[in-house]
Amino acid sequence: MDEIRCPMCGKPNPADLEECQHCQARLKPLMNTSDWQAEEPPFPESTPQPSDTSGDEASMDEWLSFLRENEEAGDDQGSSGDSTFEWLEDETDDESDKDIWMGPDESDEDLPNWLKEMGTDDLPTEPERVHFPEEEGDQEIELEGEEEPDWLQKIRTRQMEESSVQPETEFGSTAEPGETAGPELGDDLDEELSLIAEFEQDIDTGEYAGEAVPEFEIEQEALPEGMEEEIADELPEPAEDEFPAWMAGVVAGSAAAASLEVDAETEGLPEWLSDLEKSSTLDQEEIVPFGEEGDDLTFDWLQSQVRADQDIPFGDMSEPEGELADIGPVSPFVGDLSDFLEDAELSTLESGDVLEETKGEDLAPADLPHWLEAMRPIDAAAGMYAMGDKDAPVESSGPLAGLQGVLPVEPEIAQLKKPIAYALRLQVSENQQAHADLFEKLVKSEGEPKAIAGRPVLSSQYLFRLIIFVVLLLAIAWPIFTNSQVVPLPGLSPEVLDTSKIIGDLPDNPLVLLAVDYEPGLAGELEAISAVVVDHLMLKGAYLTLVSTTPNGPALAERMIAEISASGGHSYQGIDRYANLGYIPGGVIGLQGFARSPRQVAPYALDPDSTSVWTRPPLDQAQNLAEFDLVAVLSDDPGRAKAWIEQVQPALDDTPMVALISSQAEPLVRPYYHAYPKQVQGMVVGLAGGGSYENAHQDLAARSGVARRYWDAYTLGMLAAAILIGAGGVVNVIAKILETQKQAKAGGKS
Amino acid sequence: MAEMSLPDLVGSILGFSLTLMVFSYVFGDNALFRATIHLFIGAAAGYAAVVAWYNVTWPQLFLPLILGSQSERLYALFPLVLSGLLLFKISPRLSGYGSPAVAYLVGVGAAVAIGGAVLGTIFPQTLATINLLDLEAIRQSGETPLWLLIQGLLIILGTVTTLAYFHFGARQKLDGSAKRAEWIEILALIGQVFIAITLGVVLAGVFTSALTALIERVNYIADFILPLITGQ
Amino acid sequence: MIVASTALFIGVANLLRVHWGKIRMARPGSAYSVLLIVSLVVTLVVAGLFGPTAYWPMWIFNNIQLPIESSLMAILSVVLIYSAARLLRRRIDLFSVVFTIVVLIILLGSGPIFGIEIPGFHGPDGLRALIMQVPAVAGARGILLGVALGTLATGLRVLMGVDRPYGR
Repeated sequence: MDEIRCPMCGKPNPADLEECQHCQARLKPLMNTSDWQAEEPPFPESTPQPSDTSGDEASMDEWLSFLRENEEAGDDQGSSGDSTFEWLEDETDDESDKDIWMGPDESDEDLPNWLKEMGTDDLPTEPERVHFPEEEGDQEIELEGEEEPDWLQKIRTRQMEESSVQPETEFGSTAEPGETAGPELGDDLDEELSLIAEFEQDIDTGEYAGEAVPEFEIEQEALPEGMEEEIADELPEPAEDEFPAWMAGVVAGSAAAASLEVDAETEGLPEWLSDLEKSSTLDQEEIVPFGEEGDDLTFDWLQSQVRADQDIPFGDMSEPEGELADIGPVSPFVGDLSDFLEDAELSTLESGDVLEETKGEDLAPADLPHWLEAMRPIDAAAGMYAMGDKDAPVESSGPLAGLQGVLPVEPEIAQLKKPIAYALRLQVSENQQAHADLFEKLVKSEGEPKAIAGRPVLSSQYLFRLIIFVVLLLAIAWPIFTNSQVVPLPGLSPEVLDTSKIIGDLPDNPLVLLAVDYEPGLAGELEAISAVVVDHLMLKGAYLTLVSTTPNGPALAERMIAEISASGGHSYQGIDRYANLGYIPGGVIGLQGFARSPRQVAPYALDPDSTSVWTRPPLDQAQNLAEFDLVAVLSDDPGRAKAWIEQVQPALDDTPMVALISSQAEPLVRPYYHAYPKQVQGMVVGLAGGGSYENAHQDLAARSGVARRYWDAYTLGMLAAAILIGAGGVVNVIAKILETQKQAKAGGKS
Repeated sequence: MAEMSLPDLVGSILGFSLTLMVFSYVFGDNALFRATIHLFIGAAAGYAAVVAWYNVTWPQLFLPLILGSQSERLYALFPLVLSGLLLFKISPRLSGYGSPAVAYLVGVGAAVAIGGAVLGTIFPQTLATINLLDLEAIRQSGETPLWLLIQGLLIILGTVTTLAYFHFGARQKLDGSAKRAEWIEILALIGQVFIAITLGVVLAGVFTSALTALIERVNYIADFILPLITGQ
Repeated sequence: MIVASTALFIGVANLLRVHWGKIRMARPGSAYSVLLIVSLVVTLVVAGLFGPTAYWPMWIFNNIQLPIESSLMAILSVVLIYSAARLLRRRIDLFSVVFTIVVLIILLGSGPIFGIEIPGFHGPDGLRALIMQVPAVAGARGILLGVALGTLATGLRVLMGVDRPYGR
């Protein structure tokens, strides 16, 4: 099935369609164009042969020459016009015939006969009356084609001069000067465009190539008052040499059509043809061809469209001369039009030869009717373009194809647009990413345990500790294992002497309060002290009242009594010889209460046989602590010893208080001994004090002698410790000095 | 070695073993040492709780409530209520209810501590420092008076400078820094020497006590091993 | 004193709760917690049944608690020697040197050296005794007075409600 190319969008359509299925433009003219090819060409005298697409200039020249001949033919325009427009009369449809609107293929060289035969002979002598659809302010514009219009002459001359220039546009032909009659415009705009396309085809065939385009003349009287001025103000004046090629064709076609007599009553004529008048009221001299501009009228709207098609920037329309001078021939139709319209066979005004001939002629601007002006889309768009909207999209289909900045059919809000694809990934710069990575590392490192550098199994510190332990152990173990007792016990110290004196001065069977306030860890040292002192008290027959402010005190007290009693041969067992009052809780609070009311604070002894020890002798005689004969505090802790001294000693009155303390408590207890008056009347400090006490009581040492047993090991241990501390200190000092020197050297080098 | 009963023998072996396990800490922390420590803590806590119950809670709180007279019951009611409130301290959620009992203990302890500090230390020690220059006491001591005076002056100097070292009051200068007066700085410097001497004596005393404990332990080991070796 | 003994019970109860939690949560070292709780319960039962000064409680005390605690105190001597020897490596100034010299004097003066007492060094009139009786007493007295004054100030702050260590 044959296809018809749409003259508007250029897309192929089935031949049986009347309207384009893409842009709904008419595919076929309103007349039967199928037989017009077979009829007598309107310009039989001049039948320019269809030329190849490669010989566009030649075809244009032929077309123009044909127009010239017809013009010289003179007054037979009427008959010529009749014969010229015979092709318009035929309305028969013949599918087999080639539609006029179907652009010829590139290989199609068969041109209609009417195009070939069209000549200047058919140019109307009288201006034709062009009937436009009746609207307000519509006025008839009469075309007068008595003389060859100047624009046509210009076109002809241009074609003749530029014979080698390739036509760039679809339409570039010029009409013969003198040819009157512009396009016979019908009521329908589509019909007008179809006519233009038809004329373009005429140009393409070269029938009117080289011929000047007849001028159109519009009666200025038809325009209402003021409109001429408005038109003149609005419409820029194009340069004379920028006559678009397609306009040349249009004009040429119109000139050819104007020569035809149109009988509205002729049967079969299309509607728009019936309105045509043979005579044109336009003065051709006043006709301003397309591309040329007069004072009152400029067809720049059409020219602007052509410029848009040609991608020619729409500059300031107020300076068309410079622009138009630079702009070559432009096509009023966009690129989607049929190929034949885009065919280079169409004569162009690129060379401007013809126009140059008519350059000097001033053409009177045509007075466009109001309705025609309203149909000028380019004007509406020109203002937009003048504002600089150069980036507006170009409409690609429809009647406004080729125009730029066309308002969309659908509002933007309704237009389906592809949603913007936002990247799921956060858009950050490299610098930001680096900072974020660093911050993440810092936060992570907070929860991670810091890696500790691996230590060697045998470090210097570890070896030093081992050496200390071994040396100390050897120094102690040897005297112990050998039961060495060669080192003399220490002499009697003042505090030990005082203690010994105090105990010695006690009456027989004294009531002694013994505070067992030490921990099991230092039981060895305190037992070494207490062994001889408590043995001395036991020898005195003292009733020992044991009390403690530590939970382990009662057990330690029991242990001490049992061991000393056993080693000294004393039978201190049971409540008759001693009373273990147990544990006094509360620390200083308990001591304060015990000092003020010992019966309430410690009413019971730990002896299960004793429910109330204070009612039994000899405790029944002691109402308070001042009635005790002696208060001896056995303590390893300076704080507990101080608490006893602070809380209990003030309540003792004349009762002496002695402190049997560990060596670690001595520094803080000695001030109480050296106070004046003394708060502590005697002290036995550590193993040395015990040895000193044993030294003072040799009989006691022989029985208990714990200090004697430990003394050799004690002295050797102390000597070993002093040597280790001294040697280690010297070594560390030397190491420190060397390290400092090394750091100083390293710092100096750096 | 005297005849030992089985419990004593087992006890000796147990004590010997535990001693060696603790001594193993010299070679580094190990499982034996940790186990020994946990065993000790459990036994010590349990024994302390029993002693407190036997010595205080049962005879002085519950016995009066059960078997005591009305006055004894009333007398025991107050510590009973406080003890009950103190038990709330076991629960972190209800520990607020135990605050009154803790406050009572803290208040009584603070008062007793104040009394003891003032009457037991501040007054006597200050008096003792003053009396260092008591010529009568010096004469009665029988020692060389000059030497005693020098000692007394040194003690007074040491006491005063030591107290000056612990004085941290200072005025803020214009540049924002705070520094003590120059004369206090000199006294503090001298006091530091006395404090260094005192702390050296304290360290020596602690070491002496620890050495004595070591000697006692070695003696214990010797008493365990020697009979096995010598058969005595 | 009754309230103070109740506080001791609370301390023991808290100890049980902590270690029971470690066992229940199977944390590292929970086996040691098992040993602790077992020893505590056994001691409670034995001492509670027989009394704190009975044979078996004393057997536990003499053969478990006392040896361990004494041994802990014994190994302290090794640590003290080590720390005293390294003191001069950490800091060398007047006070650290005085400290070390005093320690050496006290240790050496505590007993005869190889059975020989050095006159002027050992004995009640020797250097050790002099250091113990004069500068040490002076420093200790200053420390005691300072501690007493601090105790006085802190006690007054507690009684006046400025400090509330018992909570709000």
